Amino acid sequence: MKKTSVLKKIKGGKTVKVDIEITDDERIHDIIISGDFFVYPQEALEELENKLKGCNLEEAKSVLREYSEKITALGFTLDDVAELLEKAFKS
Amino acid sequence: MEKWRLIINEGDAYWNMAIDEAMLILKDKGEIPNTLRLFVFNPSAVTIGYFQRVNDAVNLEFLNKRKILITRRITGGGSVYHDVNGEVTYSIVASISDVATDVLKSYEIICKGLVYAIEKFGLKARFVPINDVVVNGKKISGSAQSRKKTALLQHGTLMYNTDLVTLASTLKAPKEKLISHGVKSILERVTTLSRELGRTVTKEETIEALIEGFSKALNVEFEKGELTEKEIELARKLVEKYRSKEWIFKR
Repeated sequence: MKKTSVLKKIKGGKTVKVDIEITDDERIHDIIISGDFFVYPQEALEELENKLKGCNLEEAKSVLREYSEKITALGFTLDDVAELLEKAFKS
Repeated sequence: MEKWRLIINEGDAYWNMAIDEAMLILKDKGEIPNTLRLFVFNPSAVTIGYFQRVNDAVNLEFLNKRKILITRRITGGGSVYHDVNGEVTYSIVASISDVATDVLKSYEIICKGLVYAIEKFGLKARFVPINDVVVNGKKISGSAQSRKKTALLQHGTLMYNTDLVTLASTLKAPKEKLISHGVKSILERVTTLSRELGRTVTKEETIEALIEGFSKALNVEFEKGELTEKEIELARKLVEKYRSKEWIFKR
């Protein structure tokens, strides 16, 4: 199991951080997406985190794409999260 | 002109956040009028955004040492230091259709009230999307909004005389912001009405300006009122959540 934290400072001032645990077979065991941003509806972020659990990188990216259409994210985008996931998996 | 209720009061961090949530819930059910509440946090406290991790957002050791209360908001955004002697918080609870359906637009409309309030002091203020108001390039106010089906709650700050050194010690800047500076960088990034004007601005002046500012921005007239029994009763139920470790350390 690999545990890592990756952070991105978004242009405009907000910060997104991903704390993640990745299993030996490259799947997300646990993930928390945090920061000083806004998500509407608010419950969607926790729901998204739960959906990401068990995914490999490619599956995770497709979940993120699906959610980009379902939520309004202010201060960051789910592309930023995808970028952070990629960084975490490669670290 | 449309009339909104105005409430001026104070409370501790837990109670203030419970009242805000109670008002949002009851507004969504159509049980209370559109409301502007102006209040202070007594004693001084820190609130963190719904999506923040406590340990990333605040310096817990310092909070414990100085006995500064902390709770998590239901709204997103960043951590805030609410100085009992230096900051007035506003809460607007209204029907979404009375402000704006578009979230960004509604931030702008409400934040204009802060801009107008600051202009009453002869200062030039600017709304910086998503949720900041700046004076001379420095942040003087931050806001955050939460929505239910038909109602919104937007609350935010106006710093009139916040102790910025305490603020700097209380809040943690994200690691990549830290680079070197600490207090010096906070003083370069945030300010207060008193600091900008070179005189001591009072809470009363600030409250007066906020009432006029929001009245202009929302094109409404405020009528002084009180919380209803229902709001107080619901807030009493919600307050325990804001006190609880589970909620505060949720992330």
